[in-house]
Amino acid sequence: MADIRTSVQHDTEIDLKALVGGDKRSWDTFCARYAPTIHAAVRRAFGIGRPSQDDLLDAGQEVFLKLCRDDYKLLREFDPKRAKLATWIGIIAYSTTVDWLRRRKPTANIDDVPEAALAVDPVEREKLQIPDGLLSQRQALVLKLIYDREMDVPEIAKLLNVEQQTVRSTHHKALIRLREHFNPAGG
Amino acid sequence: MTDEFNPAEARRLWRLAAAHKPAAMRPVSALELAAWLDGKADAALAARVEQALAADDTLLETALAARAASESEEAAPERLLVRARAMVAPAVVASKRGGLMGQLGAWRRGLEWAAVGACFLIVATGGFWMGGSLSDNVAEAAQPATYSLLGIDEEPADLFEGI
Repeated sequence: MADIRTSVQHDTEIDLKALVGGDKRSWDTFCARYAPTIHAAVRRAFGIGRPSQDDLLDAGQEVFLKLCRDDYKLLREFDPKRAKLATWIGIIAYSTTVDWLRRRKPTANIDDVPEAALAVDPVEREKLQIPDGLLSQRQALVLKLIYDREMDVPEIAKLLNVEQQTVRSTHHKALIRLREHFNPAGG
Repeated sequence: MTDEFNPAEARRLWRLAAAHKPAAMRPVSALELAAWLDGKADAALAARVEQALAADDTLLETALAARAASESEEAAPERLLVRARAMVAPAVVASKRGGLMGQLGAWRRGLEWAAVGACFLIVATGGFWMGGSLSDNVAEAAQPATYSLLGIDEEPADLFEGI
């Protein structure tokens, strides 16, 4: 199957006004410009498995359908002053594919499932009283990215649009606050 | 107490903190998340988005996927582009094209009805006019013969005036 190289200029201006007005040429340009973004987001939503080409195509088609459905209702909501179209398209494509995968997930007949599999384990939640202001939102996010997502500092700095040293500093300050809260005696 | 942390202690502290779920938050829209990813969020929005990202794994994965996808150089299958382009039909666009023909196209139905109406009016008026003229001509042609049968040249009203 032939592939479209992403030779389309990344700074290609899309005339959104003409596009949502039904201009075929603007739509075609939009498709060429953002098909790679949509395809990449769709592929990522499928996870680490090896989805079939047909599944990838169907999911990608669902994204384009969502964008032009109801007279481009979704695209009309986009505000180019607030974000880049490519970033927004990536979010829409990923979330649409996640929803699409969830809808097509086969559901088992409850009568065919062994009773043991339906048993619900008692949830044991640790009752912690952590003040809401203990960590700043950014501190909590940095810790999550480091320890849950196992991202390295350069990756996090890029995601947060900050210097790497800022990430290290945020990480360190967050740990100090947690230690003071959980080990007040220094134990 | 030193300010240094070994990885095990740091991870344990995060586990303790991560067990705490913050109170319900206002959902973050796609545009707000995009603004944050592009570094265009103000301080209040950034704090709200970062709080949501720390609490919501799905939202965090969405953000990471969008960032990666927007920078991707991966090729898209040609069939995807073909399908996408086919979603907007040229026929729909035809009526919206510019120029004189495009504008005439938008008024075409109205013009058609106006032309039909005008033709009907012309035919009806012409017919009425022709019908009226013929009647007058017949009357004019018949009148002298009637009077001559009576042996007079004057109109009948004058003839019976004295009776």
